[in-house]
Amino acid sequence: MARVSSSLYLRMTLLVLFLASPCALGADPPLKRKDWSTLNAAEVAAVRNAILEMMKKDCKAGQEAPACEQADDGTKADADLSPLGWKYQASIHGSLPGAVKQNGWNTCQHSSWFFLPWHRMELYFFERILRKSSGNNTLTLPYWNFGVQPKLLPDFRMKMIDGKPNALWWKFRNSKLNTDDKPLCPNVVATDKAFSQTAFFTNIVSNGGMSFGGGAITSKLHLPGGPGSGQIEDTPHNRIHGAVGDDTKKSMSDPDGSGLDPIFWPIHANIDRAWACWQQKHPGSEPQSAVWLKNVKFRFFDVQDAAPGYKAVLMTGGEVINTAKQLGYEYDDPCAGFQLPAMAEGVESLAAPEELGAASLSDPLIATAEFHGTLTSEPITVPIHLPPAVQQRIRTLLREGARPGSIVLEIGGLAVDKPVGAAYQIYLNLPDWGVHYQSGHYVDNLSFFGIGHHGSDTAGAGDVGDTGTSLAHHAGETKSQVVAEPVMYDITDTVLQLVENGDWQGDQVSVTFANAAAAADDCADPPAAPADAQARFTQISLIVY
Amino acid sequence: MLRQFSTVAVICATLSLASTVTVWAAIVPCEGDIQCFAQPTPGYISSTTLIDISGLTDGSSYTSISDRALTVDFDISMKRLTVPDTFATWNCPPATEASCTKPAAPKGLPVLGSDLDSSLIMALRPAAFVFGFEVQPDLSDVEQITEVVFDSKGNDLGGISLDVSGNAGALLFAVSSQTPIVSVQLVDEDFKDFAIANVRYSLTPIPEPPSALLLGVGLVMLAASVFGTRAGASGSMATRAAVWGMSRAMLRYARIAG
Repeated sequence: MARVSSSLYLRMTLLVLFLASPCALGADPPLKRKDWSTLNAAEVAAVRNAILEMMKKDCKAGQEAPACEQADDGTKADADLSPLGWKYQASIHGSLPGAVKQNGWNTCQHSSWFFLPWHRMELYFFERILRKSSGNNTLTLPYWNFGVQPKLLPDFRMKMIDGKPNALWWKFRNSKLNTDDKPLCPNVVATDKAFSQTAFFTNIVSNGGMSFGGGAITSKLHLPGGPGSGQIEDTPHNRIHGAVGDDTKKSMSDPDGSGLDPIFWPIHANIDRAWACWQQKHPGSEPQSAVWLKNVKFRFFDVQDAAPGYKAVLMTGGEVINTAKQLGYEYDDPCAGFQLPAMAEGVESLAAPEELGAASLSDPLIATAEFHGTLTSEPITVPIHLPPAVQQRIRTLLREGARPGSIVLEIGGLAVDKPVGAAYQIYLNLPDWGVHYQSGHYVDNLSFFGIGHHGSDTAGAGDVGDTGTSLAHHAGETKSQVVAEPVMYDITDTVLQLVENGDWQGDQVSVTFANAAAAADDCADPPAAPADAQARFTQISLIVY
Repeated sequence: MLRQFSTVAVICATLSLASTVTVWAAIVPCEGDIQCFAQPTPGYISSTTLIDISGLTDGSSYTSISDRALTVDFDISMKRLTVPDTFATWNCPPATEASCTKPAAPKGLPVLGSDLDSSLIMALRPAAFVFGFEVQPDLSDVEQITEVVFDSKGNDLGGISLDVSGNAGALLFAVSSQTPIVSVQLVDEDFKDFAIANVRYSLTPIPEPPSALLLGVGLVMLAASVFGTRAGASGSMATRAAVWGMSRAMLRYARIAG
């Protein structure tokens, strides 16, 4: 009798386990997004062919994919494009200058806490379209693990494949990557600063750089870039855009044309993977805000499961938190290749209060210099005179122990006359031997990606009908766009190191902006801004708290 | 006449004690010779006065706030912000005062942000016996925030330290002291900035439970004595029972409060 009971118990347990399994419930297990470099030839071909199918939808009569996408006038009129085609999907991120805007175009979210969820949504629907185009129900969007493999993936560098044009090749790329087989520079793919952030967002948008995911806003913010960017958006995201593109309108340098380059999608899949890794390290870190979770809705287009055509859908941040449960995918390894500082694992890296001395209780002291030039390929140095009070405060901080955020460099009045992906390395008291981002003089990068864009599109996605109705108005005009808030960098550690090394004069600090692309022969950096872009700022300040 | 007086005294004592108990029921342990309030209970709110900052201009910085009865001077500039438009998240009752249900934030709640500064000293003019406010970090992580209160000689009267989440996790930092509070220091121990809201105060001390208890018991005994004199040895058993029951009830409340 006892044996019968045990057997019965075992059977019932197995039955319960079976019934509770995803198979019995009819739920498919999440699909795996893989590292592109691990794909076999068949898997690469499946993705490539699916992209080609999406491009074919765009070509006007007499044109062939993929060449039609790269030609000046190779695609159909904007109003005739299918939402499931390549150009339409790219234009959801941003449309080319002069485009006749369609439903859901120009809605990418940057410089705020919507950056990560919006791009997760974008990839999700793009992947579903790609899957349907492939005819393979298990196809997923692979990611480019640029931290491990900083050279452009070989599959994207081949102009021809099997005697036919390669749909993954794109001509509007930095030649160092596309033809010269050079890697992205280490400072471009760095993720240590992003993963050292302990907060997912900041409640005040202008402090976005102090977080992983960005500053909080209550409505949509398409562009321009600015101080609301979280660290993962700033580096590696912005810098990779600048380093991969060639500063033309259909390149990664410009948010409006970047989605046309096939490498855009594996790059963003890796950024999305970084968020997945962050979530793994910081469970429950998503904003507990109705604005982020459910109130602000974004418009995308989805395939119809059992029919041709598409359907317009709305999605919110709260619907993309758990990729496995809500979106049906997960990454083969969420954290492989990212630089994870010890503090990301929960180890406190800040010194204990008693080690840092009394906190400063005074109003901040500010030393400011104006700048009236433009940033080009030549290094620009701006001296800032430090009044005695500022010098004294810095000395006091050094004596008593400066806490993070004690000394801040603020750059205001950023503007360009046309979109560029340019970035400049910032150095303090740069010596004659030149720039090197691993030196103690290096502060951070000033990126112009997203600045000088045609502006925000806050009334875009989510506010229009579900039937694919055209919103016919011209978008994409470029004009000078000044960032509303200044960009700030915490230079406390840099100043401490300069003092320690005897490189701090006391009464003056020289701030150098240097584009490293020309000097970096062995790797790809964001290029310098061309002269006609008039990349500039108007004010630079050293603030001591 | 004496009987009427006694009846009124008993009612007053009961109400006084009940009120004190209501206020003190929200008290949590904290360091020093002060008491701390865990949540903005009705007793805390009714016994304090709110300094309304809704009239301040959003985005502007201020070095003091006042309602004429009390002025609070800041040692740094505090920027007036609004939840959720310019300061994204806060908390909801019972942790905080303004009405909302998560994940919604208390729409329109005015707050004062420290704007990258991690320390704030508030000088009170005149001194207060109860002083409280809600605090939340700007960043969405959990940060340790400490409040310390001082008397007129700069003596540390006590303080409270809490782990507060910047992700809609604002908490109340409120203290009651029998010694006048002249200044309050707020420090984000993680060296990051924060915002405060719903600044409240009382210029009169809240009686401590033992004092209120003694008052209540004294009045009850007075009443019992009067009832006993009037009723004599053969007085109403019902009246005696009522007084006895009331005394027991007060003692029970006192035990809860203690």
